[in-house]
Amino acid sequence: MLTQPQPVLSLEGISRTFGGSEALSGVDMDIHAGEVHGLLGQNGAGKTTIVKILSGADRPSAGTIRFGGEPVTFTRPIEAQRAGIHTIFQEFSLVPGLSVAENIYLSDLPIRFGMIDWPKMRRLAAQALNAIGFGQIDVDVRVTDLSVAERQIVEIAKAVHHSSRVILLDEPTATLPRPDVEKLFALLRRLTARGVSLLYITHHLDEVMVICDRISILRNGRNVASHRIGEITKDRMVALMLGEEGSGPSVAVPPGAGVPALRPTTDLAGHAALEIRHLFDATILEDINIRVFPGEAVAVTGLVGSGQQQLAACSFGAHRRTAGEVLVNGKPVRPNSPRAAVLAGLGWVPEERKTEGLVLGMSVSQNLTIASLDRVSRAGLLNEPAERRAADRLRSALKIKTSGLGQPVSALSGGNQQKIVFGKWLLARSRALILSDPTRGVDVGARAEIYREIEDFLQSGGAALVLTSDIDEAMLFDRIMVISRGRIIGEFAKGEIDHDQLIALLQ
Amino acid sequence: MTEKKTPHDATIAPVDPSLPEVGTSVSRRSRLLDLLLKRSFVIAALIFVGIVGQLMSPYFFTPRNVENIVLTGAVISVLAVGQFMVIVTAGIDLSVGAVTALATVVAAKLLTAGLGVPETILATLLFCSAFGTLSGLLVVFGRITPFVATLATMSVAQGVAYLIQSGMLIVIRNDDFKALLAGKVWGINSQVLTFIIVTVVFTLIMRFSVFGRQLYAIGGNAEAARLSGLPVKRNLVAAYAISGLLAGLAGLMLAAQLGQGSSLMARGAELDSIAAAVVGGASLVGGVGTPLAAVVGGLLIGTISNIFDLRGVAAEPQLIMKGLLILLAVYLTSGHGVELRQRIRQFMAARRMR
Repeated sequence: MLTQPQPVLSLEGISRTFGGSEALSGVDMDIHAGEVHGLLGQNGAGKTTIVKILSGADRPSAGTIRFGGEPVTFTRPIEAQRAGIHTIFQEFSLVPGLSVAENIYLSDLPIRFGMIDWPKMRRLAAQALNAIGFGQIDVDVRVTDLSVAERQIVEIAKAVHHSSRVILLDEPTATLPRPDVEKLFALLRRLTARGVSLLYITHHLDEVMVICDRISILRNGRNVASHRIGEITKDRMVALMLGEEGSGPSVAVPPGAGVPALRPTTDLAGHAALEIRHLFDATILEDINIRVFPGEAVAVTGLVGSGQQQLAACSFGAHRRTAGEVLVNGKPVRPNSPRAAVLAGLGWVPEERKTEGLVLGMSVSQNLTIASLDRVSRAGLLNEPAERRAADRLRSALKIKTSGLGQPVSALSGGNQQKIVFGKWLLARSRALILSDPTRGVDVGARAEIYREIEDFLQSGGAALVLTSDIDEAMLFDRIMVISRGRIIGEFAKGEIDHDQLIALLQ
Repeated sequence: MTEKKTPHDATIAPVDPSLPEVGTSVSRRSRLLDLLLKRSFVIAALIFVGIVGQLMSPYFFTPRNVENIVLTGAVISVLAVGQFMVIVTAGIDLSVGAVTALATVVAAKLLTAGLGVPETILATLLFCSAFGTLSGLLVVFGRITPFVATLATMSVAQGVAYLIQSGMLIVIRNDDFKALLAGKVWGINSQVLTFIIVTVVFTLIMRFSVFGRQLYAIGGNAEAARLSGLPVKRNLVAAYAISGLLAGLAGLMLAAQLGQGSSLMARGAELDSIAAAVVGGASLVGGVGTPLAAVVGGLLIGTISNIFDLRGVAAEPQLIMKGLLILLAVYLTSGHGVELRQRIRQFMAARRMR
């Protein structure tokens, strides 16, 4: 895999601003012919924006893209495809009801006498699959009947058919079973041997070491480093992704903004408020064991995609578990039922607050009381004054900024919306809370307030399990557990481990 | 909160953007305007159509004609309430027309067999609720989309109605039954009374009960509702069961009114009930609207038809009118017209402040 001096695709000073905030600022990056270029970074680092710009779905605010040395601008995805840049998204762009052959030829069906030339299309599709070493896939099978791995291969065949010179792969192994990863890598190597360049986006450093020739690391919209793979250690990659200690806004816990020193572990006797025993799921989780005691906050941290999401959803019953038990206050909770979890005294502040946490069309007060309607009603009838009082109490306790309790939650800021999702469980008197990235997309001021609310919740005897990919946030809590590939690989008391040691663990 | 308030604050327009707070009297008035233009948009439209009707025909506002409008709308109003209970969950019930017809046949058959009036009513309502429950179970546990699930139960209901009827229509000779459901109770037409009670009861349920609140939440965001621990499945089945129950009630009313049971009755009533709910501001995406607005939406369609009737317009142009009305209503409540309505509201507010 020779790297040639002339890059096939280069980004020069690419910036993209949304409103006031910069998603990308002055990114320079070169992709050479026939190389696999890894693109690394935490959530919000700008990877998605780069993919969007290169695939023609978005345009940079400033900077130049050179493709084959010529400056290019893509206003629509089809233009990028015609130029020879093909993007394979996590959720594939295949039509499930059509056959493999039709999918490969969708944009340029061979026509004969005004009709689709089926024999030709099937022959050429078979050739396209053969060219990448997967001639065994039947071109007449409908895409719905294919496995995830096979669909990915069809996507790649489509890209090859379009004679793409650069293929963008957005986390191609995220949904791929382990044994298929090796097959994918073999295929990617065959592609690069033909001179195709790949931009490979992933969170998994091990994969990077295996498949990539060079990498670029994004942090806060900047390209903080580009290296050949032999020149950099995994430790260094993680450090660059997360930011050196005390630097970079992503780790900005506001200094002196009243971030509470969260209580040290106390009263470990008696029942755990939340106990997770030998939890497994079908995708990633392996034998998770966690106990959280009343008044205690336990953080689970790890790189994005290490299983935090599944752990939260499984524990709450929103995602199917294959084995294991969840106990709240010592009592097992019926599996796979969020309702059972809520009735047992568990609450979940999910990562996606707009789609999972709130009913956007409903008011502030209706969202606050949604999980505790039995507390503000009698004999099935709502007691509106009681509801208003309860909502009002929470509004002042949590300092929710709103023009009125009747205001739709869709009109509130992210921080205030998050407080409502949190407040919903306070009102439901949950004894244990699972919080997924509780301060994501929340401004600095609201962040400090949310920490204070968690602290108040602990003071009143609540227990919190916080899942976060921000390690500085994780270090605020009583105990820190480290998750990697769906397993807990370490557990520390607060202060027992520092930022650098934690980073070293996270590869 | 350092805002100064003059006694006649309401007459001063809060146009100065540097004033962060809006006077309470102004916000109260704008809330009233808002209520008229947004919440009770259909009621305003109904009043407007009433005025037009009076101008078009001197006969329009006579007691007889008004009674005629309400009576014609009674059955469809009951169906619209049931339909609304499903639409608010982001579902749809295509089976209501067929279940209504089935109810007329079942009731007629039971009465002919000599069953008493209360028993007949109870049995018919139970039977139709069971049909609605079946639709709900198919949607919730069979994971079949509401459109297809209720399309299937519609066909089944039609078939069952034919089989029970087994021949020509069944004539109802039970005068008690007809008197109860199509006569006068306390001097009021019992059909009108039934539909008013149904409308009021379900409007109150949606407004004041836990069940109603949960239905709005499920329609607004089913996933958030599920993750908040609401009994989503149970409530969805209940919504379809209610739709079936009210279709049964509508069938009883129709059977009493026409004195017969026939599988051919209430053809297309499901579409009329959907039209009523939609004109009343319900969204097929779920989560918004009220049963009352759905009923008023149905009455609005009925009133316009009535005016056309009085003017001697044939049935065919009326269908075109109905189509246009549905489009206009949806345009104003969920399409691009929302902005248009906001502009009208601003324009009117500005005029009133001048």
